[in-house]
Amino acid sequence: MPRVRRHLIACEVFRDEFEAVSPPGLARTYLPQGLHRTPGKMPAAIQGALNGVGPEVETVLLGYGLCSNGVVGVAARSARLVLPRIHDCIALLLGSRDRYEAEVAACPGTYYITPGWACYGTTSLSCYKNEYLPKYGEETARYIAGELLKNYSRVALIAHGGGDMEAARAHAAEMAEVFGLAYAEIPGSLDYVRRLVQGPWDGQDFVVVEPGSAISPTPFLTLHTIALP
Amino acid sequence: MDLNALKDAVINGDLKGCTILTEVAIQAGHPPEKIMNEALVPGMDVVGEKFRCNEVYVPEVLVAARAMKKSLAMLKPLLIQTGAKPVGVAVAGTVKGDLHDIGKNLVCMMWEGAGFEVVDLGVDVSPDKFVQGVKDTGAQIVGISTLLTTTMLNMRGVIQALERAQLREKVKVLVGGAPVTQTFATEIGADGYGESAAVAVEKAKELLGIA
Repeated sequence: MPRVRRHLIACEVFRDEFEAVSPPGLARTYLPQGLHRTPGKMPAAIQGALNGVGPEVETVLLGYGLCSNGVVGVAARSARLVLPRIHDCIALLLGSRDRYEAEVAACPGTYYITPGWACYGTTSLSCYKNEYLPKYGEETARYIAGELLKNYSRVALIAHGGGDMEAARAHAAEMAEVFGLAYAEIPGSLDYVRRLVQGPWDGQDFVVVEPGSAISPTPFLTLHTIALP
Repeated sequence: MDLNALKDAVINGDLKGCTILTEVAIQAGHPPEKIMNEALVPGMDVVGEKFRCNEVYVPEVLVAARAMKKSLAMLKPLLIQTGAKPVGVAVAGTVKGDLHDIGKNLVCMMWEGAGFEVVDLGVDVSPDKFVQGVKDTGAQIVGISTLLTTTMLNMRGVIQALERAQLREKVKVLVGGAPVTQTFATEIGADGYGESAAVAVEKAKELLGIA
């Protein structure tokens, strides 16, 4: 048996993407999507998965960005941690931070969907149909969704060649129709995901945390942020 | 008439209940300030605290906010009639680059409930627009909100713009939003940090020396 040296812990929203690029020997743990909504609880969830990783693992790859500080404080005893140097997952799915910044500049009010969200995660559409409507009835459900989405103008399906695109397309198009948003398909890329799995990990695009040290927000916050005019 | 029922209606997001019970409270002769301070604001405090502890989530908060807003709208004309002076003037906005406004709207509503005159500058607000907002309203409180780690540093830009406009000494700056901490607030030179809408009310009053 070859020694397992790397272990991936990622948000389930990336399952299709990581499955597409991971070598067979890479151990993988997926955690539920949506942890970022309660960022205060997120470090404990990731730490729990990390504590289950064996001592033979040298490098733990984290399929997370800063995620509203949801990774801050996470530390591994004997493994090095590597994670993409991004604020949230859209950059990872589009292939680079530059692409994300270009999309933000072109249409700031974009609700991004990938096959991963449509299949494993929750979207405003699934919440509307499965939670708000049954609990509150149509008028109030509409009000809630309206408040959540009022500053969005389009739904963009990220197409990177992985996952169940047909199901995702149907979900995204329905969401656009139900909430009166524009619909677009934009190209994604598996490049960034592949680089996380394969390395090398340069400091510009990745944060590398040595064993025993905790993840700090600083390397993420010193990135170029949305510029003021 | 017991104002607890109205408080519960706010907590439960009961729009109809809030409408009826506010009317009943007015008819029963309760002053509008009392209805705000003893039913609406404490009701929303409970919701805010539950939200902070992850006992309820954004939909419950929104529904409660809608109910409270309805009551506030009914009380406002009465407050104007009685000639009640606002306890202070506040402007609030979500920082440049960020379009999220649920938290900011909640703070605006809570400030209003606490007797402030509130001018909501909206979302994606540039530093210049904050400065203009202060000039136009004579605000003593500036509330800056953000949900994103990408935009939290833009809060510093607002404070710097207030300094450049020589308004910094005239206002108290309060910051808040999911990624913001007291440490960050101190680092960028804010006067206060509100970890919830209820705390934002306490801080604003404290900074203006209102008991």
